[in-house]
Amino acid sequence: MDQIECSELWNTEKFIYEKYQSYKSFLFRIAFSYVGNKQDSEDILQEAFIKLCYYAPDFSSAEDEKRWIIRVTINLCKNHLRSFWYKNKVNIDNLESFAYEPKTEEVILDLLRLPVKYKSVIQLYYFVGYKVSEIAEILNLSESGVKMRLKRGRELLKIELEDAK
Amino acid sequence: MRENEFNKTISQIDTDAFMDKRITEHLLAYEEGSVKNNKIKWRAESLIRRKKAFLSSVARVAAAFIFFFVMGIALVWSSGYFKRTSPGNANSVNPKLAESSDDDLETIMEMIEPATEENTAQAIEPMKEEIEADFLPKDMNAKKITTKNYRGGRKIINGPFVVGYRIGQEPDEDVIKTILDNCDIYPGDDAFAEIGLPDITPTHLMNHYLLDKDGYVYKKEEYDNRTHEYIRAFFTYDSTLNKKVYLFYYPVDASIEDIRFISNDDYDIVTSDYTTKNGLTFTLIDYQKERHFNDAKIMFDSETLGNGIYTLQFSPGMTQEEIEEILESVPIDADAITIIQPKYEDISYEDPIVFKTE
Repeated sequence: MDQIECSELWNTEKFIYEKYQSYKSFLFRIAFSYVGNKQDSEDILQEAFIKLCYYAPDFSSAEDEKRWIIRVTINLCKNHLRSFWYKNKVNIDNLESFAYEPKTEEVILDLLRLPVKYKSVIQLYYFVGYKVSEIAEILNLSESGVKMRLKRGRELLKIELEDAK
Repeated sequence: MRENEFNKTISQIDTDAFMDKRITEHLLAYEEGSVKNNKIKWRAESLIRRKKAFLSSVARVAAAFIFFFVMGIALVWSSGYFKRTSPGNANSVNPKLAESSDDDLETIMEMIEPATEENTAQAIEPMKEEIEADFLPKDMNAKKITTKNYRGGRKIINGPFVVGYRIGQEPDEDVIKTILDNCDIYPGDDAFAEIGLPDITPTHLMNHYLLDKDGYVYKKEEYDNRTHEYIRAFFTYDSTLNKKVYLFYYPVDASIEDIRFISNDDYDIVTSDYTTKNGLTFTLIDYQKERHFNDAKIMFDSETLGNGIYTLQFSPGMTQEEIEEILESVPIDADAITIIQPKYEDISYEDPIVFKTE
């Protein structure tokens, strides 16, 4: 019985590390593009992983789990932003230095200023790597709607398509 | 900026090794500060418990099967069916049958109704999942009346109206019509429409539970210079009332941010979170001194649904799995709402509560 318990404990640790490694990068980028600083993004990431490891339901597939954790992270970001703006502690124009290169900072600022409806499409396309059809399914939009938002998002972020150069 | 340049730039936004260490350590030491914390132990043990429960349920099913099989054999044996087929000892075992004449056998055969299309259909009908019924009370603005099987009984569903009855209490169509015509119940979608919402009753409740005869109660009251509205509905799994679920919805004019719940030590509440597959995070409140009466609460601000407090209250007899099944079927789009965590304020009994008596 002890052996079983040890192996279950080991499985749990392994589970946590594997999940963290799989999702951390794009979830951090999503959180960062909402809140704009490392500290809050870390808190959100931590909260999202706690929910995944300790409170999540059983998922029928890995894809379900991935979509669930993305949604939970975005909701946590939105909740954070509500309290953020409500308390009126920080103004977007006075954001502290990101400690990145100036060009990266510029991109981050553009991302932060991006309206939410374009931001979510940009996040799923560039951060997570979903295709247009998958984004349409996740956000319950038509494919043409996703393409339109992607186009406008790119315009606002001044991104040129590779095949357009 | 080109696409690959953008990708390269955003790839710089990533966690660092210190952050990874902090987060994973926190995850492993969640709640207790140790790898062997209760939560992880519980999680590991729950896997073992689930395996054990599965094995024991298999054993129980097998035992039940063997029991019924043996009982069935015994019953059939005692009725003499097997013994009559043994010509060698027919006289000694069942003299009555052995001595029965061809006339008796004919009489017995006449008593057995031959299978016809009509009686076969009657026998199969209650086994069907959903059957259209004929007794539509037209004046009820009925959407659809169906009869559905549920454990050991059937229920009649007229949109949100549900009337349940047990097998053996064959439904008298006149009685049902009278009930449906006179019941003072409010359709769920109409009740929610009063406050501009779609019906947000968990679909699991609609499909598997009985709605109380009061139906959906929508109330609008004026006091404290404010309008207070709410919708209330009561569901029960069956007439034993062991499993009860109360649904409450309070629309709120102001932002939920401003709402505070009052709590005190007497309630002795334990709160936890449950997040559904759709990303809705409910706050579960376990009222320990109320024999573990559970609340699942979700408070939200929403541009499309308005601001509100959605509460499901579960009776102590309900398991966590049943509660989760119901929460999973709450038809609220997580993307359409912003969830606000409930805030509690303690009451100090050192300050006496004074009622204003004018």
